[in-house]
Amino acid sequence: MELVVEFFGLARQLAQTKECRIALDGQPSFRQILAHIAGQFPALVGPVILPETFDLVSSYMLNLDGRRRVTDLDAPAAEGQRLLLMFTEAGG
Amino acid sequence: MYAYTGRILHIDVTNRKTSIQRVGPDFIKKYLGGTGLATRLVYDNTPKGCDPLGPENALCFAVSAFAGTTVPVGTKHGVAAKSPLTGFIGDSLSGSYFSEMMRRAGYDGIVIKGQAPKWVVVFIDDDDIQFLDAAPYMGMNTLETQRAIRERLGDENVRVSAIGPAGERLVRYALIDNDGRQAGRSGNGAVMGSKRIKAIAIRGSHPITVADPKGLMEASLRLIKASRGPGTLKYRTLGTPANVLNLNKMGLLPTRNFQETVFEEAEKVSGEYLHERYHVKSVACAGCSIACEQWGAVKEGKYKGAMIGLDYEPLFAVGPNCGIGDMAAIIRLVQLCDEYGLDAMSTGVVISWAMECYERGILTKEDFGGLEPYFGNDDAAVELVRRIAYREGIGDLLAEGVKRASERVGKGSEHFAMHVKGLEMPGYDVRSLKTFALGIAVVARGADHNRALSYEVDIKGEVDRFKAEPGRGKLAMEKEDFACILDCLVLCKFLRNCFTDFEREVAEIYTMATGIPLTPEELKQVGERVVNLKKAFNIREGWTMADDWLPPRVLEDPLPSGPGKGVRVTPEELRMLIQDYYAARGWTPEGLIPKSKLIALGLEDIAEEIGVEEPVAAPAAGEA
Repeated sequence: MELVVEFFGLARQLAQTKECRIALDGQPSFRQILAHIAGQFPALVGPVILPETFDLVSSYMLNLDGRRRVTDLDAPAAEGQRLLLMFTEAGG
Repeated sequence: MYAYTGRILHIDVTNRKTSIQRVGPDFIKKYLGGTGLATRLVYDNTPKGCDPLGPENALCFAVSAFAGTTVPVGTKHGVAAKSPLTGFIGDSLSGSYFSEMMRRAGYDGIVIKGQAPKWVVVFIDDDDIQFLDAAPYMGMNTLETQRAIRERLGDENVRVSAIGPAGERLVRYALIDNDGRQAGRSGNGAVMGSKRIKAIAIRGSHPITVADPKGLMEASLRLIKASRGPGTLKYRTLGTPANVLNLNKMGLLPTRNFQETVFEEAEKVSGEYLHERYHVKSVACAGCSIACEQWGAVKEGKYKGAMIGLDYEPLFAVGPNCGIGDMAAIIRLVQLCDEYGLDAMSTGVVISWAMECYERGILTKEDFGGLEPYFGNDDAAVELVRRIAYREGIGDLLAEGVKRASERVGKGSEHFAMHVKGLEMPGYDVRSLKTFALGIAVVARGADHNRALSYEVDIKGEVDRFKAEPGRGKLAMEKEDFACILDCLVLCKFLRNCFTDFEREVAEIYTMATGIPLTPEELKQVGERVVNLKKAFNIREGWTMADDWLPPRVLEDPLPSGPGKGVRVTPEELRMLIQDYYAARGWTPEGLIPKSKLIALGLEDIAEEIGVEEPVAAPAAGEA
């Protein structure tokens, strides 16, 4: 299964890229995808992704296709989705 | 009293008379400071139906309870008057050492009325109030004025609030600048200009004492630590320009006068791009531990030398919303707005409306004096900003704000005049933010994100942002009340996620600073009280239900692309949401405030003036 993860803010600064394409077998959960990203971009571990649990720090969220926030990291992702790793904080 | 001085300075610039109003803890505690106290002072000192640009309108300043104390991000003040844009309450906030100096001079608030025979600088030097000839400063921009007055007075510690050329010419969205920070929205700079006050300089020599210095220091250090944590990470990393890409991806970034919500050049005007290519420093307001303001400088090209602290709202307004995808141009445009003393948000939305008028043939090249302001034409935008500030040619029309300008031009341009109550829209397209659509429709100041705050629940995914449903009224009310508490204290909204139990922690800090006992429940009620006070002011000035409404574009034009493609706020949805909100507030279905509600909030005098009898419920079937 393939999907794209886009990085914004601190995540982009640390990953040094705007996005990455991820290919995983089966139907991974969002948490498994975060674990995969943590392995690929270790600089994110700590500031953005918590080690061991692969939760996101409270200042970050995953947004799905720009439409809704992922509230259950253990839910399965789907083929072709775009995951946006962005600051939770809204507004200015 | 501690922290507070218990003194309000009244100045009449017509006859140069001053007086001191004494206020006690019971009065202060009801409004705290900032926009709460400033609004109360406006209510009490502005006669019903007065001309916002006439001598009777009271321009009121009120200091934060925490100004000059160790409490971080609290050295701020509120400014309020009857707005020349909306005709309703116009309150704005700013943060700088001007706030602290007000308190050191011995004042919790300043009320200015009248109209000076000649332009003046009001110099408040503790209890000595002087009226200096402003002739040497006329025509200077906001920052030049502040520097020149400090030089003349020979004291670098004198703090100055000043207007620029736009305020001198009564541009209805002129701002008041202090130390490069602005009381920006709703046109208080025009009110100051109408009084022929070029600047207010202030110097204070009194110490600021607090009730519990040890306890307050410990609490302040805890708060400073929290303010350097995850709750402010966004602001410390990229500042508010980080919103550009997030909102663009969510289909919320107003583009080309809200015709679209996805901007094809968003990357080039993003916080990330600003940081990589233009960033020179991060700057903190007075007493701030966050330092969110990101300064960008242009080092080459036609805007070489331009430099400004850039926030999302001005950026969206003069950038994507005008179809401008050049960060250098945006930096220059925002700098010009700040220097001329224009609210960059309103300026950008007015110019984007003018651009759409031009592209639709409603206004012509001749109307624009030879300019061709198509979307993306940054040269035309730069020139329009100047013409607005000086009210030259078409600038005279645009200086009136988008509501009045569209009413004069007509020809269908009212459809895409993006404002609520006359205040130009902020940088969120509300068509797919249904809670925020409600919040922005009902908030007293007009189209405003900072007073409504309900975008949070939509964007953070706490609700389905595409859906209008009962219950959103309560959510919008709670967010508005919460924002209001912060604006009264004053504490920066960027601190809002740094508390675990907001009301309890803040009430404790307040009591440590002021010595005035305040319970969490009392603090919470301040928010509700001041929201009702603002609404009461609006009712007194002629508010009707028709004023709680959204621009036709939001209600009639579905989003053309992006994640919200096809979505709009229907009139039926908006009516339902508004009734839900009025009910949550305990207001009548007509949006009026029952006397009993105002009395319960401690606003007995206002209950007599504008309160209505509660509607009598129809007897249930079978009852006698």
